[in-house]
Amino acid sequence: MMASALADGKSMDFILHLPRFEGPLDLLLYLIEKNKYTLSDLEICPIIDQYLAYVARMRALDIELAGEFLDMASYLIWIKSCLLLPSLTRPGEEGVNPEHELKEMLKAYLAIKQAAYDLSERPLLFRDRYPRGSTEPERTMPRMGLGALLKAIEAIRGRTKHYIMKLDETRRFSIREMMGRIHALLKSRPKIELTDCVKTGEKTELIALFMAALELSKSSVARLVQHGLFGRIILIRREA
Amino acid sequence: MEQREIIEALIFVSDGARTLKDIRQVLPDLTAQDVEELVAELNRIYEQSGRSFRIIPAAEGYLFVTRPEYTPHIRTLASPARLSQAALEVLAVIAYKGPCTRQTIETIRGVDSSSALKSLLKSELIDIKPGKPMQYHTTDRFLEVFGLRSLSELPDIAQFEEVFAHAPEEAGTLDQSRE
Repeated sequence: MMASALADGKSMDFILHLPRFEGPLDLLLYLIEKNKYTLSDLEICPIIDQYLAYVARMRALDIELAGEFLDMASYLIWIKSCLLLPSLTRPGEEGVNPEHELKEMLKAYLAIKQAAYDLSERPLLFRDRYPRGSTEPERTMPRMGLGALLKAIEAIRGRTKHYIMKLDETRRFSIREMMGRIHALLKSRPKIELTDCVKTGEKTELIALFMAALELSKSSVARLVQHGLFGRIILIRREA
Repeated sequence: MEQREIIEALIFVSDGARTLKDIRQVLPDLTAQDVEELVAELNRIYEQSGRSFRIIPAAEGYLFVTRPEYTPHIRTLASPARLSQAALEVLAVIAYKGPCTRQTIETIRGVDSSSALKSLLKSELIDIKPGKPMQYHTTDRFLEVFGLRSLSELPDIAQFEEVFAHAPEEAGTLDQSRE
């Protein structure tokens, strides 16, 4: 796959046609191989330069790179600076060897990549050979009849019965209708309590009644009187 | 009725791999070695009579599978399983270094591996060992799918440390394109 991607490329451009790399280590391995190095015989500086050039080019083209590629870029710049600058560690002192560290990382990843390749080369079940039952549509589902399904639903119902709240259909009361009711009562008596108008006591009825009382007060049919918070609400007829 | 055919019947009726333990429960006189020899005999019979299937070792037991040459015909009816490169790499880390943490996997691969882990968990090739930190390990299903008796059958990982993945002819093409 890689070979065909490279076949028609020229010097720098070809790298853009490459398949996606699994990560920065994968890209580094590719560059090492491209430069005909092995891990034990590796000149790290040109590889670092090529890696950085690749990342810079990808960024210039606005191609989104995973954060790991940028982390590796800064790590590589650090390694290069360590290689180019005179060592700060005094003789005899155990200093870090970043080049060695990078090589160990690459070695470990290369081994895993190869092991993965080796695994994929094995005759795989469901790819190269099939066990009995492979063509069953849902292998993981136990084969059961409709009866079992209905029984299961019944069981769930029995278990959850007590928790299901039955919601009555809410009755609607129109404010206009309530205004009529209050008005009719006010015709026979000059003074009524709002609760006198209640018939069913449903919440929606109470709300509608209250709204109706406000409406009547607004249109100067009745006066609303309440002594204190939560006190009784009295409607007093207003003479026209 | 021969013991050999009893073993055949036992493996045949099993949906997944029939464990050696199952077989020895039915035929307690047989050793693991005996069972293996009888299974080899069965495979020879299948081969001689040109059958399309064989018995393979899988995890701690045996499994009937079709011969690879019949795969193209079976594919029409059964969709093949696919593993991405990322999933294969994660699987390799877990098979060789497991049980191991996600941290170990990502340190070796140098890249985030959460989605590969998720898909491997879903396909039941790996599982999580309870405890903290969470550790991943391969399952019996992994052994089954990859035709392994145990993880110890995997080749030594040290041999992979210097070889590059690509076949020689591919490397040749790479060289040409560099010019």
